[in-house]
Amino acid sequence: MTLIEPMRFTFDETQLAAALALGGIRASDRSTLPSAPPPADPQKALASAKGALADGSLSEACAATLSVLADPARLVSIVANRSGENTWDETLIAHADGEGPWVAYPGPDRFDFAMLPTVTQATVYADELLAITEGLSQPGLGATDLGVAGYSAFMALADALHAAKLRALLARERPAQPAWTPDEIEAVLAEGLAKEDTRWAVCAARRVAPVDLSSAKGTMATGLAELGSAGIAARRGAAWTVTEQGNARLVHFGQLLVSAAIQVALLRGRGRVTVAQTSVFRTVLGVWLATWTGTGAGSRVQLTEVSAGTALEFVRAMLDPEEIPDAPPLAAAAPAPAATAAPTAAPPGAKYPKFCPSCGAATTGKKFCASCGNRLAS
Amino acid sequence: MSAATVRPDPRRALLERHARAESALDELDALERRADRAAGARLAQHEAAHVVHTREAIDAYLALLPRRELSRCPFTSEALVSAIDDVGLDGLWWRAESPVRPVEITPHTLVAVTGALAIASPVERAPFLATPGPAVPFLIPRLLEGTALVAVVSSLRIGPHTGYVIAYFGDPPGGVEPANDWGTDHWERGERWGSVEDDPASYDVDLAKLIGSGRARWIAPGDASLTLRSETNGCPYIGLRGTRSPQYVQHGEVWT
Repeated sequence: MTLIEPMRFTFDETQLAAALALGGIRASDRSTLPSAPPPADPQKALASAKGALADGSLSEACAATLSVLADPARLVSIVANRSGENTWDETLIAHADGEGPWVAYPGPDRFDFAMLPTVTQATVYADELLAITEGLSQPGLGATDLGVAGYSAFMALADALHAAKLRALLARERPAQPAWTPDEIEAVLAEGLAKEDTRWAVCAARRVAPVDLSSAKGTMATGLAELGSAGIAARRGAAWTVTEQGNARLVHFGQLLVSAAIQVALLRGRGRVTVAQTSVFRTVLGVWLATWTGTGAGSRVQLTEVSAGTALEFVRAMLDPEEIPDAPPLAAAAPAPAATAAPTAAPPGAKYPKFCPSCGAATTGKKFCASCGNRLAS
Repeated sequence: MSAATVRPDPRRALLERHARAESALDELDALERRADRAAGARLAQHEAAHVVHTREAIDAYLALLPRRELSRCPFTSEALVSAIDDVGLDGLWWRAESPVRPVEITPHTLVAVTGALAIASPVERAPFLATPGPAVPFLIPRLLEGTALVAVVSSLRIGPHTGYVIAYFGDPPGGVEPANDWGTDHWERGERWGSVEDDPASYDVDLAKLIGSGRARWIAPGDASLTLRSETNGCPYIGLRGTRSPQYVQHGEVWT
């Protein structure tokens, strides 16, 4: 399924050099474009490059695309995997200061550029990679703040629970209320860290975390205690079991569809500052954001189930924080769960209802419902 | 000495937010038209977030609109009080198609509220079309001929411009179809609404004649008491120069 078909420019290195020369585009210090010498006849080199030329000159769209790559100010990296597949696809989305398009490409040495004229289209493009709108979603039970040990224990507990359910299913038994000792969770964590199967939570989480989850080895007693404080796990003697609240969260991670890492970097001269790092999990049941702060073993993560709308706003803000003035600040906590989606009454004096009384579609402030044509003004 | 502080303009911020959301909805609508059913359903989720932004901006805008005393009924002396965006034509109150205006409780004698606008520089740049009327106050003959209605002309500042309010009152008010509300393509009175196409060529700008015959009165600019006047001497609305044709404003450009 394709949500968007952006204009694309695909070059080899010679053609790229030709395009830059023809457009008079110079790469700044912060560009990753190669500095190959241009061919003697740039037009001839570009003859087979679709969309690059217009009346013998570099086309306006191609020039705008390359200008972004020649002097990018913001670089969003999305690394995503479909559960169970062996490949991880990286996409970089660059944007320059001020006006101009967003440009998506598969890496600094692959010259296949998708030109996305607006942040709206860039967000749709990112959604294709992240699968945010590909299924159910709902605002969850609220954010869970965890350290690396707690986060790793959460994922290991999800895998342990998933395995217990599968075993019960195969044995045609009703699932029991299992309990695990810290050592058993250590074993689950170690197995996940050693394997590459992204259908399992530890494997997937390890690949999309900005910190090394193997640093959590040997800390599962601490991690389970963190989950206990968060109401996700409960102590039963020397072991830990999953609470009802914990089960509501953990069950998602037994049904992963897409796991991804988003990183936002600001480019200043030759320097690069990472301002946001988030892991995204699209599961059968919903969308989860794990927003990281700090570095190394001292990192913290806010794990939150969000509605698709909130996740899209979050991605949009990562692509362009100016676009939504009251968007959550980058590198801060995950966004608060969205308010309930239930229709609310229009405020006193408002001219139009928030939702069409005829078909229930959300209104856009216009006189007639965009969905069914019902007149909304009264 | 501290540096000057630039105060954020909440009205401008929310109008920009609204415009961005509308623009995003237009883009997504275009994508949706090209998409298959499954992709369309996913794009609809993108739209939903922007619809929320649009609604929020509209609600905030409505809350910001000031309420002004615009006119007075010559029969009951009741003031016509209404929310109006008097900051500029870039406000959604002035959007000709689907203006954003609260439901008003108006005098029961009110039949119609039209208006005119003498446009001055700078002209606001708004993405939508505004139709603020001719540049000079005018009267619609069909509302006065064969009726007992009385028109009241008043004025107020709309940003750098001068707005003229022309309200028609009657006691009883029935029996005549109202004119479209100022700046819009329709009229609304409580539960009733409709749309009328009055021919601008029929507009009567001879205010002296109509005031002299008692069919029109006026309120002096800036008169907070809204005193109704019936003399032609000293009436600032007589003999004004400016186009009698409806004016159209969009993206900072004005045309007739």
